[in-house]
Amino acid sequence: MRPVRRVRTTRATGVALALVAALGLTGCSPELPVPVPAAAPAVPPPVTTIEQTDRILQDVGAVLTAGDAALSAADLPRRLSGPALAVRTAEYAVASATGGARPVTAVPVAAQTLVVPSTTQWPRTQIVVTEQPDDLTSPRLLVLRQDTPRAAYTLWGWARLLPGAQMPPTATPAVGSAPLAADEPGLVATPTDVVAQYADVLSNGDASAFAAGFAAPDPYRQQIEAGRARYQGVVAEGTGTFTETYAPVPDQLFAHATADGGALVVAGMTTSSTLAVTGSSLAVPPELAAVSGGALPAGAVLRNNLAFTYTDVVVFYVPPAGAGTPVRVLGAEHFFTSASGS
Amino acid sequence: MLQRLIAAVLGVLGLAAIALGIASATAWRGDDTLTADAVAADGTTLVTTAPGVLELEDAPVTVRASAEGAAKVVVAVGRDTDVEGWVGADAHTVVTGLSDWHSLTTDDVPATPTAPADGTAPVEGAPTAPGPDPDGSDLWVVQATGEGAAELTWTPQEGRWTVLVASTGDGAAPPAVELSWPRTVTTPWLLPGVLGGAVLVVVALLLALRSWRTARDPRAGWHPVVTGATPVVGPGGRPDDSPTVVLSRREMREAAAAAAAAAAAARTAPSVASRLRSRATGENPTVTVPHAGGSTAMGVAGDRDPDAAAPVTEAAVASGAPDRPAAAGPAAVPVGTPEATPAPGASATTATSGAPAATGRAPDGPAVGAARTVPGAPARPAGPGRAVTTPTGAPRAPASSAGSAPTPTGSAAPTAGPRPAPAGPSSRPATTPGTTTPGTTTPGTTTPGTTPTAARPDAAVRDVPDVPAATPSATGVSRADAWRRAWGFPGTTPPAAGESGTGTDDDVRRAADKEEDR
Repeated sequence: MRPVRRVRTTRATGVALALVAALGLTGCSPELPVPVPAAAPAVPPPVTTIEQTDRILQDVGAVLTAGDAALSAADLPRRLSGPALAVRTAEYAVASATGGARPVTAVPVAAQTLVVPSTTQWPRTQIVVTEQPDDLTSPRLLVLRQDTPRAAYTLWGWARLLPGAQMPPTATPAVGSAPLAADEPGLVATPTDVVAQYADVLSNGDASAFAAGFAAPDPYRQQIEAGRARYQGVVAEGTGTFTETYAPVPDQLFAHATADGGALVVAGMTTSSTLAVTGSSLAVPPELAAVSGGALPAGAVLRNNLAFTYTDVVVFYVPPAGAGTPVRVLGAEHFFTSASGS
Repeated sequence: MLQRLIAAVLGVLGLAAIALGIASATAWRGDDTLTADAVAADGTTLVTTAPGVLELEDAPVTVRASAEGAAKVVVAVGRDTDVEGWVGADAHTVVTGLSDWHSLTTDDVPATPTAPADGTAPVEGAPTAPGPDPDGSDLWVVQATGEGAAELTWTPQEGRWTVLVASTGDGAAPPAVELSWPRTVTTPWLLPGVLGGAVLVVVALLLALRSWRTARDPRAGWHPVVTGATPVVGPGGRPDDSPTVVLSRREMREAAAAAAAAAAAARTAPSVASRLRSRATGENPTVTVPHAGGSTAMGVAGDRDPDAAAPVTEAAVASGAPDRPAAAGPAAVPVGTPEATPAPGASATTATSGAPAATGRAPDGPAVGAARTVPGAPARPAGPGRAVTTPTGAPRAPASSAGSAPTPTGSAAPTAGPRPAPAGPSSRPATTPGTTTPGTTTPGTTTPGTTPTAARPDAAVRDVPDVPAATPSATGVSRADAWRRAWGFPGTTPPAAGESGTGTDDDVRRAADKEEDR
């Protein structure tokens, strides 16, 4: 009995000594640091920092400047896409065709307000309200978009802020604004519906069932109606018709939440104008000939019809449901980008 | 011994603690920079880090990347979701942490086969396209690009940021990534080690000092002495072989009493050797020397104190017959030395003195002497010394039978002169005859040279008063010697026998003196 116990004691002593030695040795060397990542935030951070957005804007500005100088759209796709690319290309063509009589639209890139989405998904869209351009026209509202992670941000479109338009309050770029779905509930109408209704209002004017849902008078609508009236007046002189349709472009709609629970909605639309004549002829204006892609030579005379398409970018403020205020149109761009005729 | 051992152990421990503490802050101090690396898995050109890896240590983190054969190496930092989104389904290697202080742990993520939208199956073994190039993406907060290698320094910000390393170009090798952080290196063991060690060392030193002192302290070797103890070193020589005799107070008292008694006896029976001796010294050594018997001394004494001398009749007798013990009784015992007698000078002296009273003066002499002695005046020892010396050849040791006079030891006698006879001792010998050191010879009896001389006679009456107890001189000598030894002075080592030439210069000289005397 005794020997056994003694052995055990010896062993226990040995183990204890080993433990102490190990502890002492490990105590001397600090432990390996272990990564302690910050907790993943419940709300995603803004997709870009202000610096990043500025950097993107500067690059966009550089591309535009280069394109403007050469009136060449060749390099534009690197930083332009969607309506912006189409419009700018058309503008270059027009400018080239007219010898500079119709200058391109100034697009300043100095930001005044940023609406940066907070999301981890793509595509990502952010809205930039720029300073007033040098020609003292109204500030532009730029839309930057990144379709995929490996794609660059591009200038997707721009719009001129309408006279008297007031931007809704939005979250600061450091916080980020939640992107909203096209069918986002909680608004007086979903973004998709708003665009569709507005198209109807443009077409039918006050006769539209939705006219009351939009603040009036709306300078853009007034401009559209005035243009339409002018063409109709021209047509009226002879025997012909002028029709114009307005339609939202699928997939060209996105919305950001505003601070008051409403939405800032940007939508692409097209305005299709068709001028048909019978028994007379139409001289194609050089601007339209320039955007026809060669289909219409400059100075051509059309016997039947002339069709041209405007690319539109319209920005809405959609108040939250129950706010009792109408949807406001904040800004819009409207430029013909194609023409055809016979 | 144990104390010293403990002190040594403590000292060693303390030094070790100090050394370890210092070493922990120097040799074993961690690097100021933590650098670890990893290589992407074969076939991948992308390396990312898991969230938090960049913040493993202090800011800023430096990311170095290199890849052989890469046309371009890109290092970029972006939000984790952005990096993940950018990498997408591509194969990549994720750095997840540290496996040790110099290498990173990695997690290889194979490419996720994505079902092609158009339904065409991906071609197996198709040459992999050059690695995707993250250069210039708007997702990156910072990025660095280089040919074959790139380096980027990132100061972590709030949020989850990760790094993306990519090598691009045809045949680009998997990038090697090295992350390095500055570190705040602490030396938690330096202060405790040095302070604790210092304390241990100090304690050890104190202990050592204490034990050293104890060992070296002279007091340490002393034995507690009962009051009144007096060591006696025998004339024989080295202190250690001569037994030390210690007298208690009582013994001393008894000795004193005995001495007193002896003195009293002496009064009646004059002749105290001591006297004689002192006397002689006081006077004229030369004179004394030769004298045979007390007469000579007497003469001297006579000069001074005729009266004193006068009374002594017996003394004269004694002188006359050297062999005869002094009338003085037992004490006197002066044995005439044959040699002594012959001394011419002595006779002369005697003649001059005319009064052979040597011992005669006894009446007052011894008594006084005794009395005096005790209190002790070691008084003029010098004189006696000489006197003694002289007589060596001859007489000496009257040794008193009284027992008190202990007997001039053969050896002691000669020496006695030079040193002061301590008062106290005088009594001592008296009391314990037995105590006398071995070397001592019984009065007169033993050593030839020492034969008690008639000295007794010369016991100059006159000096009596001042004379320290002559008798005890012998013992006194030994005692003095003992004292010297006790106090660290070189002791005189009296030759075993006065004549033995063994010893010191003194001895030699003495021997010479004797010769002369003769």
